[in-house]
Amino acid sequence: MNPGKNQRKEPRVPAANSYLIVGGQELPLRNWSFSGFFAGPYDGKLTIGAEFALSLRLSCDQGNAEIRGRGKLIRNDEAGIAGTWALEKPSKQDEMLLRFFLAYPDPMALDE
Amino acid sequence: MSEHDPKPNADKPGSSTEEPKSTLFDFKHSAFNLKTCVFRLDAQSGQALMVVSLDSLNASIPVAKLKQSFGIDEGSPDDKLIQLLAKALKYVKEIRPGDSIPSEVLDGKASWLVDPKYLAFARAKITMQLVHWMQGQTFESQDTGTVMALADDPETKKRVQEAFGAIAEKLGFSHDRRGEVVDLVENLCRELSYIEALRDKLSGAARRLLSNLKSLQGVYARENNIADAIHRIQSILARPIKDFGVVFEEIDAGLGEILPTLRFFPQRVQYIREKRDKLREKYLVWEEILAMWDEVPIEFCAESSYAIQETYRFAASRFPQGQKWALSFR
Repeated sequence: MNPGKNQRKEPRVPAANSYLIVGGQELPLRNWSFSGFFAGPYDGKLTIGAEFALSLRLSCDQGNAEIRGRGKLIRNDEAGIAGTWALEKPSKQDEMLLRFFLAYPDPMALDE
Repeated sequence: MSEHDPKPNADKPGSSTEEPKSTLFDFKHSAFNLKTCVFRLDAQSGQALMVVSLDSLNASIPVAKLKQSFGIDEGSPDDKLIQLLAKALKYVKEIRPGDSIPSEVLDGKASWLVDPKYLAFARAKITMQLVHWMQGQTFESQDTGTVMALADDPETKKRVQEAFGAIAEKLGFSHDRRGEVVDLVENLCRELSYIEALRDKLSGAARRLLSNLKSLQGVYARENNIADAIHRIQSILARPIKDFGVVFEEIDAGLGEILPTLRFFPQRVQYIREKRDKLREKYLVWEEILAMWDEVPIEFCAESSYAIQETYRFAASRFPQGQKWALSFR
C-alpha cells in the first residue's frame, strides 16, 4: 500500500452549509463523495466499524437536498468522523441526482 | 389594425413568435423523467425550482442549474421549455413534465375557468354600460344583485338592442354588421368575467378575511397571544388588501366608457389580460389562505385559532415588516 496515494475511488467534494445527521446530531459536513463523508466535530458514541442510519442535508449551488442512507464509521478523532455511506434505497434516478449534487461533469465517469 | 376594424386579435401577442411550437412541457432530457418531478416557484426567492422526491433523496433544484449541469444546449427545445417554466408558473401553482403550457403564455387566453355566474355578472355590467351610454350617462357599478336585477329588466333588454345598433353606427359598421357588435360585446364580457371572478375570489375574499378577523378580535380578547396575532395580521395585510381594491378601481375606470372600449378592442383586451394575469398571480399566492377562511367558524375554537396562526405565518413570510414577532399558541 502506498500511503501517499489517494485511496478514494471518487473525488471528495467540499461542503458548506451542509450537514450530516446521525444519531440525532447535526454535524457540519466538511466534505463528501458518492460513497464517503467527513463531518464534525462529533460528540457521540459511535465506534469504528459501527453501521448506522444517516441523512445528508445539502444546501449548495446546485440546490437543496435531503439524502437518506446507511453509513459505516471508519475514523473518529477530534476533527470529526469519517466513513463510507450508501443510499438507503439506491435507484438509478437517486444516483443520477446524487451525482448532480456532487457536480460531476460527466455523470457516467464514476460508474464502477 | 384600424380603429374602425375592432376585430379581436388579442389572442396573438407579439411575443408568440419567440415561443416554441409545442403546447406541452414535453422535455426530452432524462433528468425530467424523474418520478414525482414537479416545478414550483420558490416562495421566498420567486425562482422556478424542480422539486423531486425519490426513494432516498428529496431535492429542490433551481431550473437554471439544470441546463448547465445536464448539458442542455442553448436554444434547444428543452432550453426553451426551461425558459418558459418561470413565466408559466405565474399562472399555475405547479407544472409536471408532460403538462400543457398555460395558454396565457401561448396565446394570452386564460388557462383557468370561471364560474358562469361571473360571466353573467360581467354581461349585466356591460349591458348597463350600454344602456347608460345610450342615455349619455356613465354607469356606476353597484352590488351584484342590483346590477343583475337592472340588467334583467325587460326595458333594459329592449334598450340594449337599440344600443347595439347605435354602437355599430358609431364604429362605422354597416347595418348588416350589427351582429359583429353583439359578438364584440360578448367577447368583452368573456374577458371581463375573469376580472369579476378575481374581484370576488381575491379582493372580496381578502376583505371577508379582514372582517372575520375583526369579529374574532372580540372572541379572543382575553387570549393575549391570539389577540396580538390578529392585530399584527390586520396591520400587515391591510395594505396589500387595500391595493387589490385600487387595482379593481383602476380597471373599472379604464373600462368605464363602453364606446372607446369597443373602438379600441384589441388594446383594451390586452389591458384586461395584463391586469387579469397580474391579479391571478397574486391570487395563487393567497388562494390557500383565503380558501381556509371559507371553512373557519367565527367563534372560540381550535379551527379559528389554527387559522389565525396560519394566517399570521402567511402574512409574516409574504409581507415582512422588518421586525420579527415571537408568538406562541396554546
